[in-house]
Amino acid sequence: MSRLTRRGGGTAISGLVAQALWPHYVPDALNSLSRLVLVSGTNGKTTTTALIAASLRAAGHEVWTNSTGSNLERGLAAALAQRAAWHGGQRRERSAVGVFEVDEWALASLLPRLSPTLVVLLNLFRDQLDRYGEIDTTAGAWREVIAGLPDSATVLANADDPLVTSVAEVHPGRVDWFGSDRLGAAAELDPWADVRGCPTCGAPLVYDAVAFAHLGRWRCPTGDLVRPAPDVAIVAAQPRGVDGLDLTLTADDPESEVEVPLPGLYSAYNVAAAVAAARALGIGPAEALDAVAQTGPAFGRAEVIPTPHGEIVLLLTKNPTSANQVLDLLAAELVPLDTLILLNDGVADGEDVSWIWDVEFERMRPRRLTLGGRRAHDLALRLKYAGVQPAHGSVAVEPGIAEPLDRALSRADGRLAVVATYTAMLDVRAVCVSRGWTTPYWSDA
Amino acid sequence: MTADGPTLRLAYLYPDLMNLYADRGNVTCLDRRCAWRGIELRVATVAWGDALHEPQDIYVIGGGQDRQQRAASEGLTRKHADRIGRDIADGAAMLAVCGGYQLMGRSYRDADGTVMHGLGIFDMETVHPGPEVARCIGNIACRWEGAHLIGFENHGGRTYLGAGARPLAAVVKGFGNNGEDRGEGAVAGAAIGTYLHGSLLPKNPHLADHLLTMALRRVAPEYALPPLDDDVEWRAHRAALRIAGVSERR
Ligand SMILES: [Zn+2]
Repeated sequence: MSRLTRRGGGTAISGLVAQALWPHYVPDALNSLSRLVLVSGTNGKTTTTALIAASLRAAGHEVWTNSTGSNLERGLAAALAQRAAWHGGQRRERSAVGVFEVDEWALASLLPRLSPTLVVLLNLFRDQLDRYGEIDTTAGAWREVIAGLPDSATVLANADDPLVTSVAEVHPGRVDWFGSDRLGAAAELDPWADVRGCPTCGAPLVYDAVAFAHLGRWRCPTGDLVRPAPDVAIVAAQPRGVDGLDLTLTADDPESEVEVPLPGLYSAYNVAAAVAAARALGIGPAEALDAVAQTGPAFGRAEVIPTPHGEIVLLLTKNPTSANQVLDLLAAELVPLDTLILLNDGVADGEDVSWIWDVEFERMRPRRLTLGGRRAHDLALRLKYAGVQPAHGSVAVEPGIAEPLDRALSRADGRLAVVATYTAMLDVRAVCVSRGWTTPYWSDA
Repeated sequence: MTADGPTLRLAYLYPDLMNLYADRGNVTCLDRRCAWRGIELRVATVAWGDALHEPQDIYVIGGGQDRQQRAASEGLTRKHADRIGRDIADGAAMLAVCGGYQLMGRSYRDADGTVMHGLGIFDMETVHPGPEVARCIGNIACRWEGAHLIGFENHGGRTYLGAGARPLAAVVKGFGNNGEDRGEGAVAGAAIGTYLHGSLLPKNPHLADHLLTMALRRVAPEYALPPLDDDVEWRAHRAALRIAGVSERR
């Protein structure tokens, strides 16, 4: 616990105390905010939450948020307690807007006790199965709590995710949608895609276009579940490697182009969700996009750290979908990067590392390659069977965090891409902090 | 390397429904280990509803979510029982993992009480004790043929073998078939069922080669499987054993 606390930036203890003294602490504190926005889904919670918060701040609102990514009830308690301490009490919260990312299962347990203004449902991918069971189970739990929401709440959901669509459509009140239009060419799902059948009737879904994983313009052949027309749509997305993305969106009116410093196609969905959320909260798309374009990367999302041996770029992966997205990102670099991959098997990473066999490492063309983390040898085995050969030298395998980082930096030429699972990302950031290369995440928010 | 060795036919059953724990890594593993030896492995991917007329030398099936497993049960018993049953009786090899393993028994009663019929390759029945009972989740290590098997298990159902089946391995760490009798998996002829994913075969190259050896016995009885450099495989195997808290020597 204390180790987690230190790595996470010292935010958990005060929350634990508050929660122990006052079991209704989290729902009571959240419900007393002037408006409450909750963001959930497997991938993109942290980034989308940061983008929505930025839009609200740009529109002049005071915003309470959990920018450290602590998204279980305990973490929310910590974020709230820290805020309360900052303001010397809870009095000012009545005018503030809360924007909180919430873990998928924490959403299912918290939502019946909350009165949110807006609930954002991003996506459902296979993630940490050892903790959650199966994504159909998660969708079922969401359906139950969304059906129980009051009409006054608005739900914003990803029209490109058939599983999320089947959840959002049970809401009795207003539902807004974000998704893609004209995006994606392939109409075949990748073999590792998590959703292939209609969530309602089980018939194999037909895709007119696949963006990635099971996201895209889908149809159920029996027509019992229909993809809604998005209110905010991605019309074009041009990745610029790890540096960002050129994006074109439509929202009610003419198309707007924006350059965002967030890399990868998955960022396009996070931006669309944030613009749609701002719209639902009464902020114009142009104003929201301005705020988005100025928002830096969230924790581990292409954050750049300068070191005496050259720059490192941190790229978080959590599951096959995000890992394949990161590999796409690296493949979009004009010159292949030196790469370090760190695989841990902590609870927050998923103790089961079998998912790496659903990551298409076959498409990797690294310049130099180093492997680390607690499961470095599992990675080495996966890459052997993927036939990955770095352009220079052989694959270096070194369990741990600091040792493989030093080894990769000592032989790197130019930028080093560091691809890491959640706890490995915390660890590698902690190494960089201890060497004075960067500051703890929570203090630069 | 040229494919001057024997040819094996592998049917990969229902990857569209049953690939919950990246079980396709098992097929990748067999494919590479054949290619490195000049054995031609012809992989037929059998999606739900596809016809399967040709006899096969190896069958591979993975795990799925409950709903997909119900569809797989229906497809297997209605459409593929004959072909698979005849090949297994004729000595073909099989690797059935997790949900696919459960469907190779006589029946599986899932968390809702729905009974799915299996192919009866293994004399066994699987019962899910209900959604409120904890799943069997974690790193698992067992003893098999004087060595270890290492993997990860994640299943709600408990499997009980009948008199006509024997377990594949003995659990050293983890739950295995039912968490009670220390048995893990089942063997019938050259067919193997198990709860271990991981993916299983890459980290257990001795089991991968055992499957290939059994499949080749029928196809090319004279052929001896050439050894491979498995240094990376055994490093991963030993590291995973250590993480599971099992010492290498017994
Ligand atoms: Zn349907």
